[in-house]
Amino acid sequence: MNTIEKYSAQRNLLIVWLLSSLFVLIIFMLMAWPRTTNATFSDTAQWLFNYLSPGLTLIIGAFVYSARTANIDKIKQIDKIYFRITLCFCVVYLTTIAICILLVPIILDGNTELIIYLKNWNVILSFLQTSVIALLGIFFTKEN
Amino acid sequence: MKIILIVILSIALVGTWGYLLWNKNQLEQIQQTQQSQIAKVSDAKTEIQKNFDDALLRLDSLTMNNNKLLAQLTSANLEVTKKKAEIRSILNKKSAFSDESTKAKKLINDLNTKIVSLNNENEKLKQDLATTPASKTEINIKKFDIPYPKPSSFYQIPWNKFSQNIERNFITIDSVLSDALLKCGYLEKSYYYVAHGFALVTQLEQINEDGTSKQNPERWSTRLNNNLNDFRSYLKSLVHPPKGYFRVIVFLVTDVDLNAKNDVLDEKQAKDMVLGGNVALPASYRNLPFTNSHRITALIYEYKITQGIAPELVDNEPPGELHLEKAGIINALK
Repeated sequence: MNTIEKYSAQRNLLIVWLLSSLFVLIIFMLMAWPRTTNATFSDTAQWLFNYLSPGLTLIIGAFVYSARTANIDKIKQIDKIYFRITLCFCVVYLTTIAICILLVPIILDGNTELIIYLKNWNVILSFLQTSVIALLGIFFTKEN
Repeated sequence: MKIILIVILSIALVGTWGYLLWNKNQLEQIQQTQQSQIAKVSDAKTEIQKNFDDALLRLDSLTMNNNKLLAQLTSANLEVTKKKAEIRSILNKKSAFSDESTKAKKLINDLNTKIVSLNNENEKLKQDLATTPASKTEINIKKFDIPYPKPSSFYQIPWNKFSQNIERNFITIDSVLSDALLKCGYLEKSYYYVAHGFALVTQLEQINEDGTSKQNPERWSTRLNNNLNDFRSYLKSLVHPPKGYFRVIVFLVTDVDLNAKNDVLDEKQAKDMVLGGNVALPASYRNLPFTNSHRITALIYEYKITQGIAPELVDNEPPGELHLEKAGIINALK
């Protein structure tokens, strides 16, 4: 079966997550800062952190653990298909968050508050987040 | 052992979900019941409020009629007093008694006729009042509360801003205001009851920051203009969200003391006001007099809307007079 070194797969996932999260965070700050008041900014920022932090901490935590046992983990292999599925779901999830933020200037009218608009995405983002976290869990525990 | 633990945890998890769903269902049912109870109470309150407003309106109308009748009665009394004095003076002139007696008799007859006529009129009015059905006196118009919600600014329009040779009654004042509004492009307006007068509300319009009205159709649109023509404008609007200013003007024609309360009329309520009132001044209002103590006050409710942020009431910027000038209303009144 086609396999990949687990350590490098984890590193790739970490890079994708870090770069995407940084991009999402920057556009979110640029978009949300002028569209919120002091009272509503914390709620709005909390919305983003609820979707980024679980995945990010899970990947960073697992990668730090792997880095400490790098010599052993470099021997470990994982099916490429698991890596690709996980990567694909992560990309779809992070892209959905980015789309949700980038659509704000187009979709939002003058009568809807930003936090209300963002909360409309909760159903789809919660579903994707659950799937991504579950896949990451499988990915980190699975090894050949 | 592990399998048993997993099975127990799974059952606990499913059980928790089941309980949560059941609990949510129960809460929704309770919420629905409470909402229907609140709606019932609210309906009853609205009904009572409406009856109260109707009663106030009838009272106003009756008070004005009463004042009119009192004026008539005073003038009749004066006439009677005058005639009485004349009769007395004739009776006192002993020398000229025979010559003047015919005149005195005539005056006494006049006086008696006048008294009988006044008496008849009084009886007729009493009969009219008793036999008029409630539906005839009932005027269906909503009330604009005074003290009114805090406006952005206000302006008491001086009488010299109006043409000086107009008739001083409500229908004339209404037509002067309506014509001025029409000239300035306001097509929709709405009427509300205020004590001893009425309130005229304009529709929500979009304005520039200086108070001038926007061009049609943007003026009457409640959406902010994004101006997303290309990618550059999109990037610009991502960082600089579109802003807009909206305005509603309420003209109060009344002689009662006006003051504001601390409540804020939100933008949605202001938008709905033009749809909530009467489309024309009620017929029974039209001939009521616009007395010297009546004033015309314009309340300006201006809202600043930024994309993503709840609309906020602008505080006295620009002032009320400037709003009316920039809207063209002051010029149109002349």
